[in-house]
Amino acid sequence: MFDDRSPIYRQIADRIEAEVLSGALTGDEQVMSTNKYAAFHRINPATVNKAFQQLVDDGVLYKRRGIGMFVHPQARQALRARLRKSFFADVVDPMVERARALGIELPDLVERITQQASEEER
Amino acid sequence: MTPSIETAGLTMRYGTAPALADVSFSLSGPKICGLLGRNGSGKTTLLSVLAGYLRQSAGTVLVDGEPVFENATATGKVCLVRGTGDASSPRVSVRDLIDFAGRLRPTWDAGYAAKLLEMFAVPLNRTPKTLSHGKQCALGVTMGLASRAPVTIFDESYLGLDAPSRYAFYDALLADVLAHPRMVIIATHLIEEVGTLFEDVLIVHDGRLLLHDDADTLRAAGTAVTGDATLVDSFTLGLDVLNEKTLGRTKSATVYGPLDDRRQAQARQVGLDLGPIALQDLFVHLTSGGSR
Amino acid sequence: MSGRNRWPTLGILLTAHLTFTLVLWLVLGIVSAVTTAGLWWFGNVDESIWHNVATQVPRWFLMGLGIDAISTYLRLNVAHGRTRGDFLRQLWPYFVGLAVSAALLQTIGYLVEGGVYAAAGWSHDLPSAALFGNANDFAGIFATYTLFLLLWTIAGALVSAAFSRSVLTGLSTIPLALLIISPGEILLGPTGFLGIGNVLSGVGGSTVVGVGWGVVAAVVGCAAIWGIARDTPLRPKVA
Repeated sequence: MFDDRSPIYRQIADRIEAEVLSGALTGDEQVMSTNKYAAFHRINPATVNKAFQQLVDDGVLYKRRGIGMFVHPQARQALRARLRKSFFADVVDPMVERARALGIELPDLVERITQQASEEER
Repeated sequence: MTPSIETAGLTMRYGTAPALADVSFSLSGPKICGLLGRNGSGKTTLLSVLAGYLRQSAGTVLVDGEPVFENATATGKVCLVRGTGDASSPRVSVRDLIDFAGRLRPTWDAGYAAKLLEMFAVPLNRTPKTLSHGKQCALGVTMGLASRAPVTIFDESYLGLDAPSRYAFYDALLADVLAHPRMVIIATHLIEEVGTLFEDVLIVHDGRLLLHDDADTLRAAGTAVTGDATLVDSFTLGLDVLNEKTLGRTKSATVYGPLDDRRQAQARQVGLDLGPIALQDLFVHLTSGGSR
Repeated sequence: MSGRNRWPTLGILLTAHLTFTLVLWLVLGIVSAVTTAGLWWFGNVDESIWHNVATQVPRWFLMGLGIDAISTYLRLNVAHGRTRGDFLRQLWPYFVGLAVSAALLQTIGYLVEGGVYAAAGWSHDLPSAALFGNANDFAGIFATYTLFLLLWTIAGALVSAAFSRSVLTGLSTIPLALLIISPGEILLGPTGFLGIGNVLSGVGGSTVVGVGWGVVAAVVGCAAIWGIARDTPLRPKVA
């Protein structure tokens, strides 16, 4: 579930962000307490704390003192906006590089995308 | 409870051979720490000195600011379980051993011990000599957990448990540490299995402390650089390379130390693949061969 | 902390060992009774059988308890966060308590045998000379056995403590251990142990020498145990 190959707090934060993006976690929904999360996934509680704190700092979660951690109502929008910004650098550019490496002409790439767009319109 | 351990220049010599040489580190606060090291690296010696089982040849060891050896204030706070446990005797019944623990350790929780023994299915009226190795380990692990000692150390003590029992131990440990915070040190070979529990990691190699770092920092500390051998070589020039594997014209090099964004971009440009290094593999690469 | 918790080791040691001692004493009593019955059946009874049993057997058992006190319980103490000094400080009252209890059982043996012999009309003579002249000197019997068994317990603990440091240390304390139990040959008379009694027979049954040497030996033995075990390392047990 969580592996030893990259910082675990980052893996936890990524996973929760993914759940927010997909809608599995909705705005103002309460997330599992850090202790429960740590026990459930068999992870060091300090690491979980760090992840949740990072998510609070990023505006994905907010804390209600004495009650617990909740998903920020704007979290999904904020995450989508963040990912939209980096989409071109993280996804499109590497895709273009890969196409070039395989010898695919860029016009062919553009035609494929246009095709998808017109299918969508129908 | 914020227990602390501090060692400075800790050295342990058996005859002329040093088992520990100039080990200095400090740990504080309730946390779970991992102590990694190959067989014969000095792990057990270090832990034995921490618990007052041995007197160091040189240097200082402090628990909560007090020197450990033969000091009841300090040793009373430490519980070390080595292998199947020193708090066990082949001819004394499990029931009596648990009773002794209760009489000698002020922080002992008898109810918790009973629950754990039931969970691990360790019979009370038998003696350790008549128990399987796994059950002896379960008894040892119970001694450590139920001691509720502010500094509890498991020196490869659960390795004799079968997989389901090991996971039961991890769950019990985590649950208890959450309810009753204490410092736990785990010396282990099963890094993959228990690595996610660690907050701090210490690596001992050839009697020396190789590193002491945050577990997550270590998980980001190594990178596997894979690609054309000549490209890999020029990329890793000047970097700390721990290990290299070559297959034909492809080479994979393990690099230790952070790679900044510039270097990462450089790797992508040249067509090199950058991948993560698991804690266990990092440990293997850092400790292979003799002293570095 | 309650009084009981201030001396936990003492409590543990006494509870563990006194039970065994009681069981042994009962077994010895039965052996003695059976032997007496046999003698009566096949011959005649004119001296104390219990004396033979009491001088020969319990000392080994108490030496074993002394060995066990160190080899089992010292490690247990340190493993539970207690210091060696704390353990040793509770060892001295344990030695005394054990010796007194065992000596009491010995004395009861003479008492019971005396009663049986008197009822049967047999003479209750001592088969060999001891510092106590006859089988009715209960105070003398009790005192002599206390010191005697104390010395054997201390000797056992001493050798065990020495061997737990190293084989070399262990072997080198054996002469000292022998010196510590040697006064016993005066206290109870020659018991045939390694011929020491014969060597000492020149000294005769001197109470002063026997008791004086015995007390000095006990103190020296305890001091040696203290010196050896005070900082002894606890090496990992071989699985």
